[in-house]
Amino acid sequence: MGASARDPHKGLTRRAVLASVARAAGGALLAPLLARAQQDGPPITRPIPSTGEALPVIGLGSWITFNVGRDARGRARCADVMRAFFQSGGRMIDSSPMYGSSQEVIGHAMAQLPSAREVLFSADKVWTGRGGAAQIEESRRRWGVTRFDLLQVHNLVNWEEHLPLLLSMKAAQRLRYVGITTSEGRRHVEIEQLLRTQSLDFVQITYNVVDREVESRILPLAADRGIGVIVNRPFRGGSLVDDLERHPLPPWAGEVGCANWPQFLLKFIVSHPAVTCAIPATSRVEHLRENMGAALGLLPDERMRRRMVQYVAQL
Amino acid sequence: MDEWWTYRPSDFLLFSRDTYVQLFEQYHASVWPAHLVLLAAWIAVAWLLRRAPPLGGRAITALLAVQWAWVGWAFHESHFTSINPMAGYFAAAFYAQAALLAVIGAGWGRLTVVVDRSARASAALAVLLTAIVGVPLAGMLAGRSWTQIEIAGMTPDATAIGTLGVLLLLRGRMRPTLLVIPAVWCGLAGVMHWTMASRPEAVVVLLAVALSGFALLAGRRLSVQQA
Repeated sequence: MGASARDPHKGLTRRAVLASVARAAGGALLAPLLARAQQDGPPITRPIPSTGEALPVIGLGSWITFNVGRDARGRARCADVMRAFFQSGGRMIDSSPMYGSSQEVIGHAMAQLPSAREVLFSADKVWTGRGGAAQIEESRRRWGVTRFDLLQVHNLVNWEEHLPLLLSMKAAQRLRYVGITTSEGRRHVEIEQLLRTQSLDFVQITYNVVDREVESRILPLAADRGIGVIVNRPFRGGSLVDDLERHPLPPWAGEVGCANWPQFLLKFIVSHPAVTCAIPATSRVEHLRENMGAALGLLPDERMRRRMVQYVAQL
Repeated sequence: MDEWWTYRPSDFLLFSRDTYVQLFEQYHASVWPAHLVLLAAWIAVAWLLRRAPPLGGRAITALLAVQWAWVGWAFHESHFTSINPMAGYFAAAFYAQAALLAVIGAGWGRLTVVVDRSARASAALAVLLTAIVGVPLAGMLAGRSWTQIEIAGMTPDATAIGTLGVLLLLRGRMRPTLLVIPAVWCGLAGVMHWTMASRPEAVVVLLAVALSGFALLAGRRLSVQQA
């Protein structure tokens, strides 16, 4: 990891200061959104290893759930989810040009939530064979942001071309963080190689209580290299929750504040010391609130984590 | 694509089933009253199949060509692209089928209507009935409201199945060329519905393909016997 990844930028500092001032003052601008978060208590945060900036451990994904096209009702539902997300103290929203209309839908919702701009941590991806700069500009326009907080090379597609572009954008302060992504255990050998050799702030991988391959090499390597970890597919696209909801929660789940299976699954993920945040996706406010509940209260310790794995394995 | 063998159909599905069926409601509302024109076209197709006039093959394929072009533009290009970047390619395939129907069927006039009491014709009529009645019913069984149903000539699955049924009632050396795109679409649609856990719709599409296969085989056996 190069030194530049850890150096706070001027723009970054100003933004952080502005956000802090607004939060500290309970500013009128953010008050409606923060009121709910203050009511429930602040969500658990983790520092981004490269800068120390605190991020809530639960973010919001947009794969499938936010791809609602031009449907007005669908867009309104997504805006409600985003409103509830910010009310619960959430910050990171993740999308990709691969996700159909999701970027536009996020931009549409953000236009209705101007007070959320200061807290939003915008994470998107570049996903194209050629023309990465043009795609990033189009994505930025769809989101309606002045710049992205984080851009990632989606599934390592043409990373040889895109990573230098993202790093140059970061050096020019047109981007705050750079990352790479994969999902469902694909291309882990290459991911490891890039974690060792590139100056990255984040890596996004799949990790959950049943898909734990990354525990052996990638998570320790990311921790060792000071790279933040974003976890996708925490519910295996929903199927894991569907499967587990046929069984009772273990009686000891309440010891770490798990009131339901989504919280059980999310708390397991974000309690790994190397994980910065998980990004469950949903199009329903009630599910969003369940998910955000995983960022409150206690997190499982190592002994409890082993117990969680064993319990799910025997179901 | 790296490690392509690890990908499943669900990895290519970018939208939820709710969003997909909602798209049909928006589509129907935005193109109404085009439905009446398409209904008139299907009545004309039915009349032409029953009467089998000398230019029946040309007229039927011309009407089918218009439907494929319409679905390509109005559904795929104007609506489906909003949730599926691949829909642009689907539109191109539908335009290609429209062009094939227009050139081979309507232009060259290489197809003639043959509706008899054979197993081939019975199976073909069953396929046609599946498009007009089976597909909307399966959709409703799978939870669609009547404003979200598939209609032959208006939406892709019902149009592809209806086209298979009609083409199987026509005869001509070039007919197999015209069956390829509808059959491929039915295969794609079946997989998509199955992946979205919409079993009734998947089953009805795959049933239509199976019936079409039976009609083709029955037609070939009859040809061999006649030879």
